[in-house]
Amino acid sequence: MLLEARRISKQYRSDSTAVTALHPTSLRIDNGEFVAILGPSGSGKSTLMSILGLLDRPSSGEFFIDGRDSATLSDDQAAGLRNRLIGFVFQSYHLLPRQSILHNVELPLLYSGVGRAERRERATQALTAVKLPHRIDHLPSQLSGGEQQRAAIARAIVTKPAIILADEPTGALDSATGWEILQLLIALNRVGRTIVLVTHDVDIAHQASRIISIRDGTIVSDQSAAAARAAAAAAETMEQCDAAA
Amino acid sequence: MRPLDYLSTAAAAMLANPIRTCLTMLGIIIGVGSMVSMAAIGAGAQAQVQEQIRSFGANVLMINAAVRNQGGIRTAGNIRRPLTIEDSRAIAELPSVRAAAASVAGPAQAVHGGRNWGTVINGTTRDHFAIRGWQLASGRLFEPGEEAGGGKVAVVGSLVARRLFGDEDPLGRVIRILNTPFEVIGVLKEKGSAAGQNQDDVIFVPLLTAMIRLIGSANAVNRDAIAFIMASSKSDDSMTAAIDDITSLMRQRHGLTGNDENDFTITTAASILAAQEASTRTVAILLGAIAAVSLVVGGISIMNIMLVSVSERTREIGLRLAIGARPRDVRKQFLLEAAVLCVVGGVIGVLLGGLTAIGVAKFVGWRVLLEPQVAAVAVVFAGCVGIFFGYYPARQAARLEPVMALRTD
Repeated sequence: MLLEARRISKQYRSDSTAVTALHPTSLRIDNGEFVAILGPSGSGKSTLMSILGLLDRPSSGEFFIDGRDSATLSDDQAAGLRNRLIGFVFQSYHLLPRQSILHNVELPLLYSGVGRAERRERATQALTAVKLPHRIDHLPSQLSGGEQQRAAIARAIVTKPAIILADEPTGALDSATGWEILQLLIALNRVGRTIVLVTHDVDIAHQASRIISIRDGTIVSDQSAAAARAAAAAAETMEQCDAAA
Repeated sequence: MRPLDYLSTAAAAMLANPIRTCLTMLGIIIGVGSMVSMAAIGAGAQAQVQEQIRSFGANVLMINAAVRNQGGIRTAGNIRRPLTIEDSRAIAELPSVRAAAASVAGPAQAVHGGRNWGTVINGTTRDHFAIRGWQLASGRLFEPGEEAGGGKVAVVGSLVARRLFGDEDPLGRVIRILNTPFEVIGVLKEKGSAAGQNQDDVIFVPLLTAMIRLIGSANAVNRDAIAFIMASSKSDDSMTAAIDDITSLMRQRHGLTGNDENDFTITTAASILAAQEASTRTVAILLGAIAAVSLVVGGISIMNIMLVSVSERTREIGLRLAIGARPRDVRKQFLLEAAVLCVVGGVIGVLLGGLTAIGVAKFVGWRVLLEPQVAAVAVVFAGCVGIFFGYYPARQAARLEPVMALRTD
């Protein structure tokens, strides 16, 4: 088992008021799954993803990653696990604007102490895997949004992590380009990567094999995509019946 | 992360915004530049002083009569007991002393043909030249007969020779000093200036001649009074012995006992050097303080810009943390950026400071001395300033929470 959350919650404190972003939630994600976390903005899905990605710590509860209790990890150990185990893909790509695509993709390897020549080789491989082997010496601003997100995915897979956490990866793209990015994630899942996809878009979420719906900081459903589709179809039929009646 | 990767990351960040990088370095450039140029000017001045003192003679002693101290008021010429020719002869016979020469001196106008020149007349003996290590450019020194018989002969300094004779050969010519004709028998080699005085602006005549015909004795009461005695020790090592011997001899001759204060002073090149070094040290401390203040101001401007840079690059920091940078990696990156900024600024400052010093030497005419170790110290110091003032911004950067940093716009 890769990720296991036991009754984790998160409160944010601003001055005197405490806002609960996530109510106690339990969750397990196994190796090789393709999970979509579906919810509207403000539902707590980003908070959940931050905790799953070791970017943030839960206010209460326990979170295990690769069998290790996150509470026992120092900041440095957490950084090491993020580097080796997790690849991040963000809605706004988060590429360094003044550095070349190649350098951006090399960046995680810099922090795992990989030498210059090997960095270059592995970054080139990763860029080939996302079908962006050309224009690697360009600056991010010289690329289209879809190309930038491909580069960001190359950066996420360059350390060969077990999990890819994608936070609204298609949010800033038109639907055709978004679809291509999604196909890329599906392909990565087929070769064994665990994908956790955070989205507010039901159609995108239905590309995953498992959908966790979250609303107001609480998981409202956790089912396979097939079951979700059946439920959706049933709901639709009900509506049509109601309309006919 | 490998050490070289830190460096290239820092270099990339600096090159990303070249204008800001240059402006940030400006304070350090000015600080190091002023430090280097001032050190060069200071070292040049000190070298000049030392050279002047060396021209005085390393094992030379000058004995003067002490000025009387009347209720704390000391007046030039108001001396307690004058030195005499006899004092000079007695000093010359001390075992630690090689030679001693008495002198009287005073200003006078020298005339040759249509030219005249106001200079210093120094009445002395031929030993004076040996003591001072002063050589003839042409001609000869006083003969013993001329010294004993008040001969009207003169040895002139090179400046006087130029002023009175131009391109002519002065040897054998007659100059008039206070209406007394003197034959020029020798011209001295150029010696340069010492203690703000051109040593070549002088006419030497035999001691007795000067005392009888030109200047008189140094004291209205005592006919044998002279102005000062120049002496030399047997060797550099016997300087201390010579000072001690002369002191006890003079105390004995002047009848001083017990706690009586010396009524004479002994000056050596070493004592002048000590006084000069004390004054140059004061100047050096002052210049160092100016350089330190400008470096501190430069450091503060680096801290300022680094803080701005940290807040501007919050997203970058967040991303780096997310993809596996440890807080200490981020801290090192910013610390190194500050240090590289300062070291590069320091190197530019050294170059500019060196150019300034060369410019001063060329256009103002001051002597400068560029010392490589000063440049090295300046660059190292600038790097330390960078690390000191870069630490706080770097710590701020390393303390950012990745999740907050990523959400910043």
